[in-house]
Amino acid sequence: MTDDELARVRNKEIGFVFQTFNLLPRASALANVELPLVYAGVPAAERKERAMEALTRVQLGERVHHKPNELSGGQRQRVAIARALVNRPSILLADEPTGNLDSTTSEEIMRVFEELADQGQTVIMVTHEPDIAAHARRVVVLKDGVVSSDEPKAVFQARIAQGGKAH
Amino acid sequence: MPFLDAIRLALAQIRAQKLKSFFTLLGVTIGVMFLIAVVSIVEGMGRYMEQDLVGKIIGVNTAELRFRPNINIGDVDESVWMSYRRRPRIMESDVTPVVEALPAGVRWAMFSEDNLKVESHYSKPRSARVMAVDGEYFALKKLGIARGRPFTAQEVSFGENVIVIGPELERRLFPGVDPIGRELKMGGLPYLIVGVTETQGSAFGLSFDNIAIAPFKAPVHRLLNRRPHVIDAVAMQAPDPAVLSEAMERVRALMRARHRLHPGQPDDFSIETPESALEFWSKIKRYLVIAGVALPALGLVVGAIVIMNIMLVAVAERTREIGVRKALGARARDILTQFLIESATLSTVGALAGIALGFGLAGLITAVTPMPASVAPWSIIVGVLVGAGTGIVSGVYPASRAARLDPIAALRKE
Repeated sequence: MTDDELARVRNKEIGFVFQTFNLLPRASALANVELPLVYAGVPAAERKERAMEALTRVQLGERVHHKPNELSGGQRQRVAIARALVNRPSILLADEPTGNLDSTTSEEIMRVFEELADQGQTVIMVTHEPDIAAHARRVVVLKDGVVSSDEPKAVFQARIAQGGKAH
Repeated sequence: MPFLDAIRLALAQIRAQKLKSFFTLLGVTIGVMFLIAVVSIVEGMGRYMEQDLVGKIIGVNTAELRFRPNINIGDVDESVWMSYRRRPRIMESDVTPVVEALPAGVRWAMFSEDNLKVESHYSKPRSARVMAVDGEYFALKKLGIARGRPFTAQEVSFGENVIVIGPELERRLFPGVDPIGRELKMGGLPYLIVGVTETQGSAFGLSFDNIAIAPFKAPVHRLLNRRPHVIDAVAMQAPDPAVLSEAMERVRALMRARHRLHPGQPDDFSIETPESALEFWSKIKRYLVIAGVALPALGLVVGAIVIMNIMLVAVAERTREIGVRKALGARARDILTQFLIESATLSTVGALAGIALGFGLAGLITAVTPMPASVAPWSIIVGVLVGAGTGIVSGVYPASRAARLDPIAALRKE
């Protein structure tokens, strides 16, 4: 694929959520969420509407004009999720989305992901924490780059509950 | 990425880093400032030359017969000067035949002039432009008498020791004293002041008001030309250009006959008009424009290098931002445009500041020097284009580096 085709895939098919949020610090939450739509060539009015919709989906409809440094960690991550969702991607890729968050906030974020999954959004998440992994419907364990197990949520949870190691 | 968004982003960047932006823009600002100032001065001088200076010295629809051109600011080289020196002078005896040759309705005047020392009882001796004139000199030079009176016909025909002075000479020679009816001395002889002229202003710091005018036959004319019976010029003024060229043609034919020139020989006198005098100006203007473009161009080159540097730093500092943008679907082209617009905006802001300062500088030059300046509207457009162009040129390399960044590597960078 050419670079432009790759850019299109990143723009339309995949939504990224990062451990460190990676929001543009000088832009408001709304502007951050609008960014993928800017690169998709969506007109300004529609951009704003869709960004608002995405922010409402992650329950941030109130704080859209705040800059990232005026938001809490959990709120920032929700902005990032809204940004990943706004272009209706096929896959939402989350790389340790709770890595920089405390456990309460992590739970909050995981509920957002669960809701999205319930609405039919494919979410692929990378994590080191079995508690977080336990939210997934299917858990693939990688060890040193090799798949060591691939099991449905129930089996994984049972194994963890018996005090088994995650991998 | 939409154009306006990119500009807004760039302006936010400038606001966020005011001091850095100031130094970044300095080169472009100074370059454009001098560009505007120089263009304004060249424009202003051109207008001045055409309307004021040459018009005042010679006059509209006026020509002057002289043995060589009076206005020689162009490239007159040594051999031309030598040939001028060999030319016969215009003599008093030429005046009557020339005047008789003129078509009806053409005014004439003859005069000699030089800088002389003028004395009065009320100040130390001053230097002034002294003229000995005959014919309709005052009408031809549009020189009105503000106070006192012009010469009488008798004073002119007998060459009496009377004189009309300019307001500046009045101020310098008779501070706080009414000069009319008083005397001044030139070459040891007293002259009765009968009138003061209206003010004529100045050009390039050269005052037209520091003058003293006597009837031609007054003794002072002998101080104005070392050789006897030589005069400086016969001026002729026609009601319109067609009559003027007719007059010039007749005078030319007459003078060629009087100087016994063969058909193949060039004229050994000159008939100067404001237009012929202005030829030198177009030559000077060319050099001025070259200098006026070359010097600011240096400033712009420095400005461009600084902007390139700053943009490289900006790209390095914002590698992560570029990574994020690419992860969200920005194409190389989007990043390239973003940084190009940013550097173009940056330098256009610098150019706008330069335009404002250039106007200020032009105004200052007009205020403190005799050089006139007038701002040309087109120079504003040129200034903006030059500014934006500098930004785009210097932004190409940093922007293409940003555009080529690998999104994964860019995101990983702390």
